[in-house]
Parts: sequence; C-alpha cells; structure tokens
Amino acid sequence: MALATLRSREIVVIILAFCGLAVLADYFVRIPVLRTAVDELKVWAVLIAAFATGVGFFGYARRTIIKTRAREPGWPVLIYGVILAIVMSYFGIFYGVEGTGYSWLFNYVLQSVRTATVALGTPFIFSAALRAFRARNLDAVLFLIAGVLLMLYNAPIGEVIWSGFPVVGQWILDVPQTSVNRALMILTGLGLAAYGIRYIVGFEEMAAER
Amino acid sequence: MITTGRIFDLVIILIVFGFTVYFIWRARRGRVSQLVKLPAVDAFEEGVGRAVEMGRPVHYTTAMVDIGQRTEWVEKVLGYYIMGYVAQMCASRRAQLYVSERDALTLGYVKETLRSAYERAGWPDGFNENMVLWHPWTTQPFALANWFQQVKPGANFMMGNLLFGTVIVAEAAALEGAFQIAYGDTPFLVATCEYVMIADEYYATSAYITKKPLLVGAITGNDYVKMLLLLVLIASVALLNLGIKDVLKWLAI
Repeated sequence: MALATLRSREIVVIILAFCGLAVLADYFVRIPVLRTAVDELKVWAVLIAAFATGVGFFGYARRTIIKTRAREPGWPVLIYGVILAIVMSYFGIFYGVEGTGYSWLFNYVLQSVRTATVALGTPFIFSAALRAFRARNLDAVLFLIAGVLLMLYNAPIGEVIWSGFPVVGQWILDVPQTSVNRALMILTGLGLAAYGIRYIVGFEEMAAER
Repeated sequence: MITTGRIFDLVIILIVFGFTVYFIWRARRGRVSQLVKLPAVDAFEEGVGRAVEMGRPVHYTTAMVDIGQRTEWVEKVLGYYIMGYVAQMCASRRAQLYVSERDALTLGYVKETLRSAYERAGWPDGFNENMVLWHPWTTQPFALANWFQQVKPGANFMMGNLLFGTVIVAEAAALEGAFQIAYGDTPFLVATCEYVMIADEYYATSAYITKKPLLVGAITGNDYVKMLLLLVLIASVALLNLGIKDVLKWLAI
C-alpha cells in the first residue's frame, strides 16, 4: 500500500513540478535560499547521471558476457568496447581528464576517428542534393534555383563567371532565408517553452503511462 | 529581485502560463477547440501500414542529443512520447519497431516502453532486446546507414534533430525506399522525406494524438500567445520606424 502510494503518478508529478519550477524561478529571480537549493538540485542531477552511467556500463558489460558466451555476431566488437571503456575510465579516474593519457586518447584517437567518420557523410549529401534538385514541380524548381545560386555564391568560380553571384547569394541568405528562419525559430521557441511548462507542471503524460 | 535583462522573458513565460491555464480551465468546462489537421502525424498509420504490407520493420529515432543537454531535452522527451504512440501502433499491427538511441541514460526507458507496448497489444513475443539499437555519440548516422542497407525498413520516423546526421540518415533510408516522417533540420528533410513537421507543429503532437481537452486547451492558449507576440512584433517594428528607439530597451529589460 505504502509502496503503491510512493509510486503513484501524483508523487512523481509533484517532485517534477517542484524541481522544474524552482530551476525556472531561479533563472528569473535572485533569492539566495532558492539559489542554494537549485545548486543542490544540480549536484543531485550530476550524481544521478553519473550513477546511471555506471549502471549503463555494467549493463553493457553483462550483455557483452552473455553475447560472447553465445558467440553471437559482433561479439569481438563488444569486447573491444568494454576494453576501451576500461582504459578511458582508468586514465580519467586516476590521472584526471586533463592528464596526458586521457588527453592523448581523446585528441589523437577519439577526435581523429570522429572527424574521419563525419567525412564519410559526403556521399550522402551529394545523393540528397541530386534528389532535391529534380525539378518536378514549382516548389522543387524554386528550391533548385536557390540551391544553384547559393552554390555559385560559395564556390570561387561563381564570382569569376559573374560578379553578381556573390551579391545575389548574400541577398538570399540575408533576406528570404533569415526572415523565414527567424519566423520558424520564434514559433519553435514558443512551442518549446509551452511544452516545457506543460511537462513541468505535469500536464503531459509520459509515453509509458498512456 | 528580478534578474536584469530577463524581465521581458519572465513576462512572456507568465503570459504563456496564464493563457495555458485559462484555456485548460475553459476546455474542462466543455469548450474544446478544434485542432487543424497535421498530415505528418496522420501519416504514421500510413507508414506503419506500408511496412506491414511489405513485411519489413519500422525504424524510429529521437533527437541526436543527450537527455541532459539544455534545451534539447524537451525535443527528446516529446520524441519518447511519440515513440510510445508508434510502438503501440506497430505492436497492434504486428510490425517490428526498431528504435535507435544515442543516450545510454535512457536506453532502459526505451526498452521498457517497447516491451510494455508489445505486452499490452497481446504480442509479448514481438519484442526482443535487440530491437533497441544503441549508437553512442556521433556513430549513430553511420551505424544507421549501414543498418538500413542490411535491414531495409519499410518506414523510418525521425522525431528530433539529428544535427549533421540528418542528411545521412534520411538519405540512406530514402535510398532503401523507406516511407519517412521527420522533424528536425527542415531543408534536408524536405529533400528526402514524405512528410516533415515544421516549427511548433511538433510540440502540438501529443495533444493531436490524444485529443485530451487538457492538452488541446493548452495548445489553444499557445496559439493566442502567438497572436499576441505577433502584435508585439508589428508594434515594435512600427515604433522603431517612427523613430522611437527605446523599444529595443523595453524588449531587453
């Protein structure tokens, strides 16, 4: 009975609303007591996230053991992942994130791999551009014209062909693009704020509870 | 007491809050507004149906951010809400739903949402843990592009901004002929998807799906705030053009 009460939706919503409104209020007003409480809440949030990360690692390691025993496809990659996690954690915990080992792994292994991986996206951009630039209807024609003008604006050859391309390109960026983008940003921001408020005060349901 | 430079923001938040509460109260008294059609939300059924007919799975992903990131958490949380709706739809139509997730913190939540949807639909065997794909950090778009080539999903739903990965994921799915509905980086999505949600359409999804007076009332309130802000914008531009430069100061108090 007591456990059911503790797990009831109302309790969760009250805690959520209290924490959310406290953090929101702290952004707008300066009350020392509130600031202290919010700072404390932020520390809790970090602790919970750290704990969840730890739980996640053990879950990953457990899954690796199960899959490796069963020799499921991809098991060597899972082991590789566990080893990397242990190595990074070792350098991070014992020598700090500013230490040589951790920095070297981060800058010369992780970042390099990341940059190389991002570069793999180029063929998809070409392919998407090809798809977008098929002039099937009026909208697509406008899209195509704007795209070609912007390409000629960005590529040095555009200015060589006609000195007006940079002017036209800059105008497209400054006037139609910026105005429409700002309108969308305002609407998105407003929708986001309204949804955030609805969520914080408990009006929105969580997906699992429907 | 109020932090300098945030008074106008506070006023806007209070107006949003006030309108929301008023229109919820109004909706509870039976005066519920009619929501306009959101074709992208209606099309979820079409996408799932198409995947079922083709005998292919459905893929779903939320924003490529971590839940703890500042403003994006709202987008992410709503992405999970829609995921619950899509999961129920897939489970009731005997379609397999694969969800790719970048954030390790929410993997458990995603898994339990899927499990619960399949159990409630009376098809618990339809769920297995491999339906939750973990693609940490920036690996998600590339891992998904590869996965799309192997699995060839019938439908792909991207609810949240995938940042640089938007074009990679959307194009990879389009190349495999998947039916796509998305919200995020609009220009790339328009080029590759069947339906795209823009701006605050996305944030009205939960109200549109559930049609609950409480949420529909909140959306109505939000629309009135939009009109009010539009008036503020027009008035500000007019005053600025009349040479009253103090308007900028008033908006930044």
